[in-house]
Amino acid sequence: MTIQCPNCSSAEPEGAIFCSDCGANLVSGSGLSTAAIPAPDAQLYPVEPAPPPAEPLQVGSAQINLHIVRTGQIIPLEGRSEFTIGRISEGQSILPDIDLSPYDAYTQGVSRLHATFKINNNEFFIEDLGSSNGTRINNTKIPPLHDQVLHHGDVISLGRFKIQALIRQ
Amino acid sequence: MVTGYLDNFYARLGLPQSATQDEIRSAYHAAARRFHPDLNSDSRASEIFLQIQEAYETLSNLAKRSAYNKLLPEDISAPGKFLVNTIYSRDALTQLDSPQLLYVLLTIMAPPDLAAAPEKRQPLNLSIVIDTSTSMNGARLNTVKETVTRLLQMLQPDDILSIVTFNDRAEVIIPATRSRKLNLQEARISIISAAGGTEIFKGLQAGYAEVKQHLHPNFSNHLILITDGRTYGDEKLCLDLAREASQEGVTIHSLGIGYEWNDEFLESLSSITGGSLTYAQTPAAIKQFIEEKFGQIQQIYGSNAQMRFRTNEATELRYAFRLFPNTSAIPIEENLLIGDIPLRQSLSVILELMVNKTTGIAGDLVLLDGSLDFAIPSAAIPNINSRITFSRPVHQQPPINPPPKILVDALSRLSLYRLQELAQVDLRTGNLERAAFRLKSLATQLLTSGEKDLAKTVMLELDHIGNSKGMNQDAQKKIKFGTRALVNPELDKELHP
Repeated sequence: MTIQCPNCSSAEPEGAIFCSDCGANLVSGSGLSTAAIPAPDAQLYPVEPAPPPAEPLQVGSAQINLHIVRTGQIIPLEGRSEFTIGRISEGQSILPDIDLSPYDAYTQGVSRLHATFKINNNEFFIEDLGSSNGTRINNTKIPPLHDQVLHHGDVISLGRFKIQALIRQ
Repeated sequence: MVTGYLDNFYARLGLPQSATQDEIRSAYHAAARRFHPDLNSDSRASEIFLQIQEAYETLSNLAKRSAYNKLLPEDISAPGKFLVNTIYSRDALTQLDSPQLLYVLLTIMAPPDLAAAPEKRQPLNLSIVIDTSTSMNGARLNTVKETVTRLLQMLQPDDILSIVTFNDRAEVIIPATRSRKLNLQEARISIISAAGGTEIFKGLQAGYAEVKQHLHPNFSNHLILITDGRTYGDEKLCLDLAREASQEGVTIHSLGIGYEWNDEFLESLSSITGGSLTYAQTPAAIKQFIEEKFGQIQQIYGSNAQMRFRTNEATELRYAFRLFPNTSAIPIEENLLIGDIPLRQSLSVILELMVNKTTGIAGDLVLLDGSLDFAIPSAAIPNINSRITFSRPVHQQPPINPPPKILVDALSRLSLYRLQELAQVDLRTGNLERAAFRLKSLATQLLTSGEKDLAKTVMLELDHIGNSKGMNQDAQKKIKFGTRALVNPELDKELHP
């Protein structure tokens, strides 16, 4: 008879108190709890409903800015059609175009190569690059390796790290 | 004295004084088989074999045995000389044909009235062995010299101290002495300088020779080794010396400075004497180590506690860890060296027992049976030899109660250290995937407990082992000693609120 670890499913002998593979507490059932890190969400930019596009937009005229919610900083994405985002850590061979490590991205669960922003014909997309903690748009998890359309005001969560997309047509 | 000072005929067979004639016979057969010179090539085996025979000749004969018993100090089993508290993780074992685990938290302490009394402290017999290889030059050696000089002034008149330095050769700076020619001794320390390589055996040998001159169970016999380097080729000699020292009741505590030293080697060197290994990166940590150890060895109630035990076929002692003092893993050997019993706190050890098969057992199962031996240096008759037994009832369907909180808390703090320890084993056996999984879990656990820096170190190592199949030495030490520091318990407060 064995005990199955609720966290990592490894089999432990009866009488075990902590999982030998992942260290989870096997008796209280509350070994691994997700600690909530309070992040100020209050400063999202109010977004007015987007006006219906009246006429076809000029190619390449739209602009996307990333608003780092925690710090209020704005990062403009310009001059390319794709930007990878993640955090730089020691010994990493492929570096992201946008490095979030100065913003404490590590503890917020941002992967080294977390996602790609794509700009195509005045539309903006995000693709999750198979990150450990996933990407959410307005709190809805998106599947990895698929382009998702971004709209003005969307809140993107890379792990717990929140970015608001500000799009100017 | 040829044999260890905890020696008596019962101890030679690993038995308590209350052992039955049957127990004596089977213990003798087992020990004789193990140490018979035809079967054991170890150079000390034949000497041990003769000792065992001598013990058996007396104990197997009832008349001789009772005559021998009269020679033993009356209080050898020492009722009232110490308190043992055993906390089990479970009230009962389940009748099972598959393995199950049981944890035991063992605490040993001085009786309260003794701990409270300002008793006569036991004199020190201490040798400090200092590495003076080139790399010690500068802040490292200066800190050691300053701290040791201050210790000189804190010694009591009956303390014996010696100081030895070593690089490619050893030098006795201050021979083992009670005399306090402070000016001369301070001057001798001040001219210590660093040059040359690191040959630890030469230093240990010289330091041990000093301690040996005054070996006595009424003293607190210790050797403190301070080094920052790797020794080459003489590891085995060092370990043999440590084993002998341990037999004679000398405990070795080691300090590794920086990252160059060999962790596995220094860990065994200390742990086979019941001592522990500490690491220091900064001069402040060096100073703290020396002062702490010096303070600690003056506050010892019982020294060199060891458990000699036999387990039954169904039980295996899988893991032992000393929570306090000198937090450290304890190597699993026939004689489990659990360490020193502090005067005003308790010696706390966690044991993990694997019980293999319990079908067909009714009633109580004796899991581990043996003796607990140690010396009380301040007592007129210092040697203590008492029986210790762990047993649990076996039920078909035992009531399921949560394990005692104090045990869960201790295991919880220990689980992080265990994860890195098991990850190390995985790495050594080439199981990279499992090592990576354990390290990842460790990083997550560290993050949840707010240990951001340590978590980061673990994450970096995760990248590292993917590339190089091994851990970076610095990081390995940081992670090991970092997680070990988290074990440091509030346990004592909980036991003595």
